[in-house]
Amino acid sequence: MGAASHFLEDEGVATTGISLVRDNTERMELPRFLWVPFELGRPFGAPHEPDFQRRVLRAALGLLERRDGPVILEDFPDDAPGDDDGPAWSCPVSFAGAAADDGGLVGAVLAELRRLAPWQEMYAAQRGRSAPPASGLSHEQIVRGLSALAIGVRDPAVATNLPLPEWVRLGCDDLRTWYMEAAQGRPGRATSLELRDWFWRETALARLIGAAGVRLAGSEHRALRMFGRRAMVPRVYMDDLMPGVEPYI
Amino acid sequence: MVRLSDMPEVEAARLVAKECVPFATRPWVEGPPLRERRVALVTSAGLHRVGDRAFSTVDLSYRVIPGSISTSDLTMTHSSVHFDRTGFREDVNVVFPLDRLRELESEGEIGSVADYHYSLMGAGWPPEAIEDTMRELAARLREDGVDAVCLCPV
Repeated sequence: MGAASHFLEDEGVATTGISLVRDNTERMELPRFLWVPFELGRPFGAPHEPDFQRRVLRAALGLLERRDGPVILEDFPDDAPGDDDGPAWSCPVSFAGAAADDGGLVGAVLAELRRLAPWQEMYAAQRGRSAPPASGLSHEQIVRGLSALAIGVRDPAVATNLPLPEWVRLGCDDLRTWYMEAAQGRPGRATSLELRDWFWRETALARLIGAAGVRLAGSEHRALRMFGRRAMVPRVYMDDLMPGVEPYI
Repeated sequence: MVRLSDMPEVEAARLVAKECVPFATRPWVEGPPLRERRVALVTSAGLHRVGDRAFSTVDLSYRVIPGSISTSDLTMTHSSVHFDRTGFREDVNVVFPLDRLRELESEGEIGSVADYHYSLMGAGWPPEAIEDTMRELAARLREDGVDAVCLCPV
C-alpha cells in the first residue's frame, strides 16, 4: 500500500498504514507505516482478539500525531496471539480409499465433498453463517470443469458467462473456502498453517487444482500461462502439485 | 510470522523481488489531533459487500464499503492464493478493523468514522498503475470530510 500512501498524501490526505513486509516499506521511504510481525492475511493480528486488534489499530493511528516526517516506519513490538491454545486439531476425515471410489481424481474429490459435508454443516451451524459462494457454480460443476482442464480440454463447457480464468479462480476459491470451513467444523483449534498444509498436501481437490494449473501454465496464451503459474497453487506447494512448472515471481 | 527469515525461501523471494523504489517527492500531510480526525479505512484485500461485483484477476477498480455496514456482510474475492483467509472468515476485523474503529470513536480516541471506506485488490501493481485510482479516491475521501486514512494491506 506504499504507492497508495504516496498518492493520497500528494492529494492532501494524511495517511498511516500497516506494513507486512518491512524491507519493502523501508526501501520506499513512505510517510507513516507500522510494521507488524504477523502472518500474511492477518494485518491486525488474530481473529476474535479485539483488544489486540485495537492495540494495533491504535498504534498505527498514533503515527498521525507525529511531526517528525516525512518518513516514519515503526515496529509493533508483539507477536500475534497464538493459535495453539485448546485441544489439538485433527484432520477432518480420513481420505484413505477415496481415490478408489471411481478410479479417478473427480471421483476422489466428489467423495471428499461427501465426507466433509457434515463438518462444513457443523461449521455453519456453530457460526450461524457460511462464506457466500462467488462463482455461481455448483461444487460438482467446478470439479468437472477443473477435471476437463486437467485432461487438456482448452475451454471446457461450463455453465457460466465468466471468462475461463475467472470461473476457475472463483470456483477454486469457493471450494477451498468450503473445505476450510469443514476443517474448522471439527473439534479442536487448527492453526492457519495446519489448515493450509492439510488442504494443499492431503486433499484430492488440491491435486486436481494442481493438475489444472499445469495445463494452464502450458497454455499457448500468455495470460493463461501467467495465471496458471501464479494463481492456482501457492508457490511453496508447487513442487508437489505442479511439478516442472516454474513459480511466477 | 511474516519475518522474512521465518518464511519458506520461495515465498520470501517473491516478496523481496518487488521493485520498491522511493518516489521523487515525499509528500507529508499533517492535521488536527487524532481525537478530532475523521478516519477512513482503505484496504487492498479485495473486500466488498456480498452481492457486489467480484474482483477479477487483473482489476484496478475499487469498491465502496459503507461505514454503517455490518462486517459480516463483507466478503473477499482477492486473486492471490498466497495469504491466509481463515482468519478473515472467522473475524473480518483481522483484515478490516471497522468494528475496532467504531470503538475508538465511541471512546473519543478519534473524531469520527467516515461514511465510506474503500477496497481495492492489491496485487503488486507498479505505482503508476494505481495512481489514477488513488487520486480519484482522494477526491471521494475529501468529499466525505476525511482527514486521516488507515491503509490496511493483506
